Amino acid sequence: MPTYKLCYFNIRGYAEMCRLLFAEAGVEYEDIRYTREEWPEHKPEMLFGQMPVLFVDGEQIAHSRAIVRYLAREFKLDGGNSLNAAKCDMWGEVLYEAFSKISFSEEDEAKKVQLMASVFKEHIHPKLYKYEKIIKENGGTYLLGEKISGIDIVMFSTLDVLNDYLPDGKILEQHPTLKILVEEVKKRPGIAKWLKERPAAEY
Amino acid sequence: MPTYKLVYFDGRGRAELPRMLFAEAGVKYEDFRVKENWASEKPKTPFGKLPVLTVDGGEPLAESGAIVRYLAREFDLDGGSSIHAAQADMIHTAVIDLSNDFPYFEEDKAKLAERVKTLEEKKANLVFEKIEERLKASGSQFLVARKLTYADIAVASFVDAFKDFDDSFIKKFPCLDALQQRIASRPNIKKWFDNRPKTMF
Repeated sequence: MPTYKLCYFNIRGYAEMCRLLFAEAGVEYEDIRYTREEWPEHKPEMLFGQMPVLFVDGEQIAHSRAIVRYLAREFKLDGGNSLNAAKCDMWGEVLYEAFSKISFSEEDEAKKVQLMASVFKEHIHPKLYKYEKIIKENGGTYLLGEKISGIDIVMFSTLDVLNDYLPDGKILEQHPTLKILVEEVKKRPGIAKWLKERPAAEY
Repeated sequence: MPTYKLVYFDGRGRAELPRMLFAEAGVKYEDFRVKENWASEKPKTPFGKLPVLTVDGGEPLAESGAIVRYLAREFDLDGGSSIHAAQADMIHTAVIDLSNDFPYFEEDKAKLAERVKTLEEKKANLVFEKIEERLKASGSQFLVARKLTYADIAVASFVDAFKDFDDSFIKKFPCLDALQQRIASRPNIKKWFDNRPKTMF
């Protein structure tokens, strides 16, 4: 087993899905969280000057999506064959793009709520409905069927981060199939343990 | 060997790297180009976008990144191990993300020059500097695993696409310039470059 070190800030953000993958797989890693003050000193260590970065026996992997794909493959959470891995990969890109349309920098509260509602209506809800449709077609709890894969954990993590941030956290009301997915993910032993023990983080 | 069909518009764009992978691997595929019939093709795609790849007539796979990574894995162009695949992934992602800012269809010449300059100064120079350093330090002909991977082909594909905007950009990075020339002159890639349809984008 390689030595893993994950570097990020003390937030969930784009690293939480990686931490959840380690938790699901029951694999040890160093969960480094730099403060804003510590960051400038460590920035030159990171290949593209950004985080998260995963160090694997000292070799660096940058870009959260590349890290997720690597961990899913290593931990056999990528569907078992390259076509299933590609489907999960596709959904990773789709969700990343949809959720990245949310702007957290809008300061006017009223405008923020309006923008958020519009992004959800046009970009996010349609993708979530489609994800649910495929879950139902495959007859299980997860995207690929009965067996969980990394993308379900990414979905869980994304909803987890957003639910605390949005004023009324009502995303799942419209998505009963995803609500079940979220409940099932929470119960998985490795993940349940992590959710109980993880450091509190603002977002 | 499965039957592959790659569907895109009649251009290079986000389909060109998948096409280069098919070419390098010497694998046959249907290079389907949507011209007038987008309205009827669009509903067949999972998310209303192109490219999509169908394998043995199955459900279409969308997202050019997912398609590239799938083909690379199938054609043994991803370095072979998960760590090498991850390194290729990271380089490909960094390079291809830059193409999201390509000022396609910008008609105002001054604006176009400005946008190209901003892209280079704010993003592309940094990414390429880092990859150049890495290649130089490795002393290898290739970016990952000391053998050809889709990361090398992605750099060549980027240079091929970006030369429409700034054909001297890559000269700032001599090792990467040498790499992309080596890729472009590989027999199968050269054959593809020489014979592919000439398109606007």
